[in-house]
Amino acid sequence: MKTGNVVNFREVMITVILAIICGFLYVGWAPLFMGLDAALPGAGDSIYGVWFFAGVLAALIVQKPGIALLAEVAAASGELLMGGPYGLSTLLYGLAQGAATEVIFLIFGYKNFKLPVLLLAGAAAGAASLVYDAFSGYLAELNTTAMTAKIVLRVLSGAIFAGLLAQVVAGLLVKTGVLNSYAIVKKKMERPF
Amino acid sequence: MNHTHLNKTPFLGCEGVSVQFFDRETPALSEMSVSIEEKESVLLLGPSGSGKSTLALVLSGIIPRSVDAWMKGTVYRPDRVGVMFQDPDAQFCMMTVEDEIAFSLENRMVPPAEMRGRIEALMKEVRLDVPLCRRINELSGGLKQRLALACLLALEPDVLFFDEPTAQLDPENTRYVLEDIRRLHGKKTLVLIEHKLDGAMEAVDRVLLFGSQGRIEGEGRPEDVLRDHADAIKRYGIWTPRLWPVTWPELLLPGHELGASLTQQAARFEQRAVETQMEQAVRKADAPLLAVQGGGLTYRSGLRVWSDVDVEVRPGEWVAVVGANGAGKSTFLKAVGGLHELTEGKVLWKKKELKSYKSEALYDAVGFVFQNPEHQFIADTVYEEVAFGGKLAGWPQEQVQAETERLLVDFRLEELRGKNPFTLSQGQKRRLSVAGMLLKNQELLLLDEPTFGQDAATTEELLQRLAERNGQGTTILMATHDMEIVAAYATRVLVFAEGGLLFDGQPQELFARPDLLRHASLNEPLAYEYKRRVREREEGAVHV
Amino acid sequence: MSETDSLVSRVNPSIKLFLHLIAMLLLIVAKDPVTTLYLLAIPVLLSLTVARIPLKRFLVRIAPFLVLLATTTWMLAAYGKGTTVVYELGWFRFTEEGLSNGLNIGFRTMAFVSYGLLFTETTDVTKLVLSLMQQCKLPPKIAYAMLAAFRFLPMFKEEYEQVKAAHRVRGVARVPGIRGKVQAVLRYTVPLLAQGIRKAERVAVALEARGFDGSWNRTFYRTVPITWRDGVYLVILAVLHVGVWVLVK
Repeated sequence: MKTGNVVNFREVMITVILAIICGFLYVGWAPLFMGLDAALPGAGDSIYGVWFFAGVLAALIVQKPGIALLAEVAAASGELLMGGPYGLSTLLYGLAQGAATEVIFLIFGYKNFKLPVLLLAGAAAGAASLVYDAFSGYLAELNTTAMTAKIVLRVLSGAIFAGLLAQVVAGLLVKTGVLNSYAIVKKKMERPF
Repeated sequence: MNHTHLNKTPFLGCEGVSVQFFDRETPALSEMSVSIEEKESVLLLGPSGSGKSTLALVLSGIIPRSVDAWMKGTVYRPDRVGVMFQDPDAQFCMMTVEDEIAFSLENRMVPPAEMRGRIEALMKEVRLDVPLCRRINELSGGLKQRLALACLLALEPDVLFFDEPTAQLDPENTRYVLEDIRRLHGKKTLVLIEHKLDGAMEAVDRVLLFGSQGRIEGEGRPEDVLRDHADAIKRYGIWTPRLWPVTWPELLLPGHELGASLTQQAARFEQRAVETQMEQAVRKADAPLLAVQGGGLTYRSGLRVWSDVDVEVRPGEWVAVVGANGAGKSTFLKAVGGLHELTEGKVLWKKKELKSYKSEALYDAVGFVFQNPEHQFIADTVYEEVAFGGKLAGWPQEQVQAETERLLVDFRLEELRGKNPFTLSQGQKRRLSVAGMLLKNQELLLLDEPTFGQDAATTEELLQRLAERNGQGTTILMATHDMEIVAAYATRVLVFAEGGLLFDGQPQELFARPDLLRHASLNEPLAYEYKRRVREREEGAVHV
Repeated sequence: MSETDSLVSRVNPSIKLFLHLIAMLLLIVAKDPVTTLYLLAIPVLLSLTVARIPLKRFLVRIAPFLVLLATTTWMLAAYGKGTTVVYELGWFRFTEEGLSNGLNIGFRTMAFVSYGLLFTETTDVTKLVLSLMQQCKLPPKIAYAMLAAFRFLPMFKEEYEQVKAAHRVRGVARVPGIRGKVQAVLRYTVPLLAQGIRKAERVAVALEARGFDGSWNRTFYRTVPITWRDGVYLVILAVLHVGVWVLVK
């Protein structure tokens, strides 16, 4: 029986696949974000959290170190390959968001994956993406109202669309039985023989 | 062999092995002991969920190395083994044939300079006659399995495991894989799990028959097991070979038992053909339910699937849609089901263009059973899955409940009502996917290879249910590879090949033309083949 | 990712990635739209010359991103900091500073996209991952998982289409209310993810059964070397950047 916190190949594989599928769905999400954001600053940010979903979901399923970071970077590379609209900066976003998510799970010793921690992880990813925006993009140049709206909405959106949604989707996946051999389900049952 | 103590260490085998998966209440294997000799070829036969795959995973070392499960007991295994799995797409990690075989060699730390030569030799050995740089996703399923075999042989294995290697292949590609297995017989130790036994039995020395509860129920020479356990095999719904161990020359001798029953079957088909002919003549007067006029379909990539298709389907028909993989059977069903727009011509549903219908109205009258049942699952429980359409349409609760119950009973799903559809067995998933499409008594049912990968019992049951519906007036359009089904059930058959509709007529007309069958790479139903061979022999005898 | 045969496509992928990221850092430093516009010209020029990406293909790939340029510029122009009001319309308040910032960042975003395009159009995925393993010591466990996953991309697209068609027949989208809409999205997502997890497990088991143990105990059939071309590419990029610097000085 494999124990401990080292990820095995099977876990890496499902993390990467989940991330790539999310990357595929992200590409469709981008135009919606851009449209909303052009209409009203911050409107786009309210749905921005979906981009942090892969990291939280994979971490919640596998519950081991490195998974959140790997998932976010893999999702970003998937998005890049499929011609997502942010070019190479997608990779840097993925790196920043994944690292932030990872740090939250690290703080809790990879032992607590209850909803509050998931919300926090999603929010942290939102914060990290804002830091990246402040360096590379437009954040610092916005007027105060627009900037505040963006910050608040994006962090909240991270908590909801990454944290809460990951819990909901993971719950539905558990019911399908495909996660039976992962930490999220694996019963600590008595050895039968 | 069960529960016996092994005197000497077997070449490959296990002793007192039990395995239980974390999510199960009962063990997948109980106290199993098996011994397999070098160069022996063993077939594991049994119903789905009986532990065949688990045994293969244990013997190959995949349990517990890659798959977690509780396990006890001793396993004996030579160092090098290879396993071929059923999903041709889920065994690779590289883009090209060459790189994929190299991956196996790299794992064994073969020096790069030697690789090119070995790759070419391996491709030759498995008769994979494509350029080295061919992209894997351009290969057919059978050739992918051939590539998988080359990747396994690259490991220089002492034992090869085949875990349902043809389960996802059409008849033509199945032949490739079975040919490979026959060639390996006697050269390597083989452990085979396979349902398509025609063409496989020749490569088997011994059969282990699994019962329920992860135990072996019988074993011995293949012909003995098939004969001695015939009842159990039928009860478990296991497919048996059509002919084997009987050979054609034997069968053609006068007075052969199987020959007599095939003669009867051929007579039944003939009788059916006469009845069908009369029915079809009567139907001619009816207005077509569905019509395709000058239909053509070209993918956006520029690939033309078929063109110039003119078909009319009348109420009550059972139309089989056949052809090789890639000939456009699924696409045709999708086109007439309003799920894929034609690039030329039009589809008429009850004389009005299909496009003009709202999807609510259309799908109240047309049901579509997808090839992969999971694609259409939308609810958390079996009950909700069936009831969904009624609830959506706003039926009164009593009606939803009554109709749903009726279908659950019809399709033997009543005890599974609370389970999540994804957790069902393959056969149960299929039954559920059909039941879910019948709630509204749809006039037309489109089915995309509904019996594909199903065991004999599920196939039989499903066809019975469909035949009942058809008898009550439901029109059926069904894509299939199984010509026995076409011969026994269809009133009409459409053959897609070479970018068009090659044939449109009654089954017996198609089966009277072996040239056409070969052309579209279709199998000949056994009874028809028998009759033809008998006739040819008699004609031959006259000439002598 | 595809590959056209050119100087850029023969540059080591890891080095190319690194150089492009440096170029992006330089873009972040540029504060006025004119400089950024010149810098944007670099990846465009490279794409059409040494990378030999056909003009038509380049335009087709870049066209959708013009929307991004427009929205970014618009957002900053309309909601940016600034005092010199140029024009006012409802709650939109265009200022000179906002407009300048908007153009700067719009061009920057376009430049990011262009470097991305230049990279993906000239880099073969397999070579990229091999190079990440060989030059950047990316663990094989992750590298081969990525390669295996990329193979699945077209399959997932197909799967997605199938699920969409099946849901159309069953009328999933017709369930009324916001709850119904949310459920409809989840009903697409869950089967896709479930199938993905199953495929992933199968691949993992199959590759391990072929002797893959995720370690560095392996040889490489193909090596992705570092060559003189990498130096040439570095020099080209450096010269162009110095040129821009001289131009705006």
